[in-house]
Amino acid sequence: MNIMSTVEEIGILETLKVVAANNAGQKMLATHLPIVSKDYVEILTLNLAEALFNTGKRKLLLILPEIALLECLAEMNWRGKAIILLPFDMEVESKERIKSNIPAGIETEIIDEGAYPSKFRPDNGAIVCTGMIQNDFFYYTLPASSRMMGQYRQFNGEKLFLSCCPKYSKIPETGWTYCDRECFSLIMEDTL
Amino acid sequence: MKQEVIHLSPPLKIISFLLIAVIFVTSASYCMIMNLPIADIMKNFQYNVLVILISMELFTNLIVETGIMQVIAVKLALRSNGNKKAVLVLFGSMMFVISSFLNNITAVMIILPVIFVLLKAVDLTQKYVRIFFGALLAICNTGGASSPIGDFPAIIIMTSGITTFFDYLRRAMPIFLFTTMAIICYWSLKISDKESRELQSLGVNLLRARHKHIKLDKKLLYALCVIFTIMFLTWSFAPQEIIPPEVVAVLGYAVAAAVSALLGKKIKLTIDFKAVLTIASFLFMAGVISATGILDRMAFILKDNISDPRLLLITIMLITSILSGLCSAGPAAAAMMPVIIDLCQTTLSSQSHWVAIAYAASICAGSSFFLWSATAGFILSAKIENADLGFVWGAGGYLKYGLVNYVIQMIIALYAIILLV
Repeated sequence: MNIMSTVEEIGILETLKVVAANNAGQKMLATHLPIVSKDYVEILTLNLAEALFNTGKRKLLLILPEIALLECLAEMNWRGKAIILLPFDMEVESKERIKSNIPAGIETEIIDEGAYPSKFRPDNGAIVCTGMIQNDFFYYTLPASSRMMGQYRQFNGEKLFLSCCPKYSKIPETGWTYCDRECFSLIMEDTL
Repeated sequence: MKQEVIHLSPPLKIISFLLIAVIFVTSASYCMIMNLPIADIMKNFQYNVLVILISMELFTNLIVETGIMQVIAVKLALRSNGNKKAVLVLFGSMMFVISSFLNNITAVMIILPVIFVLLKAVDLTQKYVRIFFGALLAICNTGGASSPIGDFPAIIIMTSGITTFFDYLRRAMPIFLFTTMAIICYWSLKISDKESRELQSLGVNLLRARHKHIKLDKKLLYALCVIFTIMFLTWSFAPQEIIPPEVVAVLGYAVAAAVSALLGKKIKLTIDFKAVLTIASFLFMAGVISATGILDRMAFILKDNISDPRLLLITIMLITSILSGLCSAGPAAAAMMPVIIDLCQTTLSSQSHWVAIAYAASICAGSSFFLWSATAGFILSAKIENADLGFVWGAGGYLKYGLVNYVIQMIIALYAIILLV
């Protein structure tokens, strides 16, 4: 089972939500994903969506298509625009699936890696990357996300890192890569 | 949905275009050497076959735009709950229905991404990949043969005048449906499903998450269904001499495209022109061969040596199926058609509808023999190679499965013909 391609398509939070509901699956995928409970993921998603809502930004450039976050934002009647960035090397079928799997009730735009969204400025926009934090210092995300984050580091507005697993939990060994913490201006992690 | 591009490997691409050029040039050169007027051959060229093919491919594009194929594919995947036998049964059935009435190549390309996501989530083996795609290829052929608009050989039979739309449909559908069920049952028995239910369920839930917000354009879908039903009824009951099938196809598509445009959809006029060129070359070659009189002599020799009409039909079925397997369905269908027409006008004139079915069944069986015998074979192979499943599915690996598919189909077809003719 290639779980990392699923993470690339639906985001970390949605993947964790599905895997957490299946004991055997969670054990099998322990080297790829952190072990968390379904309740934890649901509350964390809600908290992160609220935090994003409260930033007051009208445009969010998502480095990973976090479907669960978009669903929450749509339910909160967020009136902004989510811009999803797709890696250049992603399979055509995966890109098509992401495009057709956007929740209703939220304005979205999908752009390819390297493109810059129009009218996306520090005063109205923020870049959002999801991943995991180890020992308050090491930031982990998908290799493509880490690469894209580096490309957009010149952006002068807020660059948010959303941590998707409990503080001090064990970081899975496979599929994740180190991400430069200098890229980010604000960290959002669980306060559960 | 974006029009998909099939990335065939460079040698394959060269071979396919080379084949088209060789067929056209050789046939035209032969005409000039033998002093056969090409203009006369072109008078009998079956443009109507090409018109129906192109119209139906464009109609399929409109259906795909509604999102219904993905929705059904995802629903079937969820229903299977990751069980490998259920995946074969459900997707095999879906492929049969789609191939019967729409362009099976387009259908394969839309459904495959969902199938790949599902297959990547279950514990795959090389054997399962071979069984699953081998069965799917055979079902594409049986589905295509089950209705007069399903595939190129069926269209050529319908437009030849030896049978009518409805006469073909009411005989072919039960036989090919039964053949499809036999293929699915046989291959299902060869599949072992030992993976834990919990892991299968995880795979399916991840697939659901990847597709949970797919949107279905119901308004357009209903409109297209109504148009297609009218087309189908016209094909079935309107006399072909008054309203030719190609006119129904063009009119139906024109109305469907207008409705789609009115509902705000972008009309994609993309077709697989290589397939059209290939079929055009086969039809031209068949016209040239027919003009030489070789086929008339062949029909005469066969009739002269085999007096029993049933045995004659069985012999032709075997020759056609082997030709179809070796040279692919297109040339076999086009080349043998004059022999079949001759038989239907002479020895087997009272059984011409059944001769049409026997002919379609033998082409269908031959098309399932080798990977190269049907267009869908190469497309499936290329898609599987690009899908990164960890397995290859080439001509060598398919051979054993193709032979079984061929034998199953031929046994059923021969038995039906012995029983009914």
